Amino acid sequence: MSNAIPFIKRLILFLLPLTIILLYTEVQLRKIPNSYSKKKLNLEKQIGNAEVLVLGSSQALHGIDPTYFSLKGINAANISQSLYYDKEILKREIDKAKNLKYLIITVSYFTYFYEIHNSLESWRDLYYQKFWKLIPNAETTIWDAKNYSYIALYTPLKTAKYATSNFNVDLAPTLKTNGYIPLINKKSIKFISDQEGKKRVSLHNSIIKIENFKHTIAYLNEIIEIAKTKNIKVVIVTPPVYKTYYENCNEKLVMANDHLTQSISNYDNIKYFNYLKDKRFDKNDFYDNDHLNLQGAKKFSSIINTEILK
Amino acid sequence: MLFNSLQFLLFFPIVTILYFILRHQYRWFLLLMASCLFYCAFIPKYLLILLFTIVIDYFAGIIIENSIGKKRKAWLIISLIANIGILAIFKYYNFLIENFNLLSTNILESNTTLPLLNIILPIGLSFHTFQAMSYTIEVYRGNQKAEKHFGIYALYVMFYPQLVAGPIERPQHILHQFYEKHEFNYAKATAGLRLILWGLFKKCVIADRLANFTDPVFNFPNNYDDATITIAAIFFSFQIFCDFSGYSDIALGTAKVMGFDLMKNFDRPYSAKSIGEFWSRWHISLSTWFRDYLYIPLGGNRTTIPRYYMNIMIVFMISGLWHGANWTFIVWGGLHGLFLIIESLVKPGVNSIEKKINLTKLTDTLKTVFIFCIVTIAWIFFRASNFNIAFHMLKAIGNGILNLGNTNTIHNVFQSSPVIKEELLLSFFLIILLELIHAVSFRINIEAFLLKQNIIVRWGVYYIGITCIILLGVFEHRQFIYFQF
Repeated sequence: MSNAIPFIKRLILFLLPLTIILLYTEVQLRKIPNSYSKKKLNLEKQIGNAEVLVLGSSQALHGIDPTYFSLKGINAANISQSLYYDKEILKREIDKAKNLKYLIITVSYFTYFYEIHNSLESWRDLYYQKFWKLIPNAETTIWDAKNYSYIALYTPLKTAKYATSNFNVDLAPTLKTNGYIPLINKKSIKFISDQEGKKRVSLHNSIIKIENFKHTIAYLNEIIEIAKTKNIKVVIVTPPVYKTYYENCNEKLVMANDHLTQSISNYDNIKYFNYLKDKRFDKNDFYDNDHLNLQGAKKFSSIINTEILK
Repeated sequence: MLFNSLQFLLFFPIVTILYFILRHQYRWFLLLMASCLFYCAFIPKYLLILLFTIVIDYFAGIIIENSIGKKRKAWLIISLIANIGILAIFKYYNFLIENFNLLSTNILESNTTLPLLNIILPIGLSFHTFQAMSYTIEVYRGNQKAEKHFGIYALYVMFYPQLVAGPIERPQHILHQFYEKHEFNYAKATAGLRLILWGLFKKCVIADRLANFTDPVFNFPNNYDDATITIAAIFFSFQIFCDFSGYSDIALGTAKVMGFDLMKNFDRPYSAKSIGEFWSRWHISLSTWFRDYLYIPLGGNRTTIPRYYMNIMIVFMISGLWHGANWTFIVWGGLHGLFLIIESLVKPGVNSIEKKINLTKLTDTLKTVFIFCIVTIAWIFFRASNFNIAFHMLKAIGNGILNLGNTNTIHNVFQSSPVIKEELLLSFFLIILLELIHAVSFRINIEAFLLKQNIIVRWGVYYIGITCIILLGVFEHRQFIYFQF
């Protein structure tokens, strides 16, 4: 083994600069604000005054701007946010939400059959764990480098990109203090096409898992129960999508979603509004096949204000 | 345990350090325990299957060596039945039953159906089964003495660098190495680490990045246009090469650091100018296994022409079946057999044309491109989960080639691509880089050239390699494709 000593010395010398760079990067990455950390901070600051709380996935995040509500609102939706995390966020904040009157839960094509932990975006569990301090509803492996490393969490390529800006970056620069992130069309009109819609639905079909259903329904029921105990009105909303999306959806699933939400709303005496194919929205209101743009969000938020909050 | 995992990043240095700290007589035990731990990271209970075949083959080897006549043969057959039997149950039982049930219900219009087994294929079963079989066959042939040390024999089957995806070693090459005392060797250790680095680059940077493009297209080809499907087929050829040869390089490198030499498994296969040459460069340990234990015993090419062709088809179709229990794999193997037969038929004509035109470089390039194209077509059957997808893709590739001149093709590819434009361009760049490295390696020995450089240049190259793996690598715990075999 003594003849290995020169090798070990050289190896340490070789790895030393790499280790220093990696450690420095890890420290810097921990200071970068992202949509999770910013939303948590905003929600904690404003939940005491909020009268409307919006939960859901990206369709709510980009489609509902509480600025257009006549009541003080905050949007706590995030990309691919599941009903489990909707529930967990609500549970975390409910005792501080003294003025809350409305809870808007958005339900998309896949919501009832979607959980983060068994989807392509299981890495998002770690974002909720690290930034929201919420415990995922599935065991995570200790052998995932994302547990320990922000480089792994953000991906090395993105880390390198942040490093070129000396880590002086904000990952959610357009996030408003009320939690809404606008989508502004640039050349993005190309995202709206039958082919893109088909691809998008295909992606969503791939994350739909029947076995998730019993869990997601339980989460929704829990949300409703929590809201009931605090006398908060629960409103379930299905946001609008463009025809290139809904025409490629499994129609049976669309109908099943509608019937299910209808029955939940009848049973629990809560309101349900389905805007999925709402004719008031045209191509100019969309950023892509299933997300509203700035103009669409203004229209949709105003509709919510008129039809739901008043 | 995957080579490109956090587990292995801890496992490998710990095992290596312990290996060199321990006295020689205990090292086999360390390696055996480490190999068990390595295998347990997948499905622990499947260790029992390995133990079953190890026990049978260990005793079979000793009995074969000590017997004469029919008893020798009988024990060889017992050993082969045990190995093939395990393979048949875990890998082929459900395939056979599915086909029987289809035949029974659709053609014979009978209600008789047999139940399927709810089992998962033990990882790397085909690899260690073939390695175990080569041991008893070689003992039977008298080329290898039976191993008396049970632990060493178990290590021969289970040696962790090559346990789950080869190279499929021969006992003559590896068994004696377990008895040799390996002192730490600086040159071997650094050579091993270089191989690991190169293997990780091929796996994480090239193969898994290409998979981001090929997986969605092969899974849902209807969602993509003809040109995108054509690119996916080409990408898959490079993906499977980088995935499997990357694994082999890491296996070879891991063993080399500890002083073991494993057999080379790949030698720039896409530079082949014939299908025969392709198979002498692709998965060498498997193709030589089939040559030595199936093709030659069947009579090889020293027989009548029809029998020779039949031998080729048998070997390649069984090779296809070895890869997977699906008709698509059998067709893949069959296609390669067919290509080889056609090649042997047209070879004299092609050679005489070549002599007449005397443009060796041009004809060699054309042959390489042609071989790559037909290998790529065959890979479609290998990757596609069913014939509908395979034929849909072949049709799309036909249309894609016809529309190559269309100015909208590139625009359509970027529109239809399952990955963003930058990632697609990066994938093309990585393939070109790989082929450039291969082309240069035909002219100079890259490793020897690197070793002649001063430390700044050498370390600079290693830093670039590591940086590329960290920055451009895809780390989504994607298994190596060949683990499923």
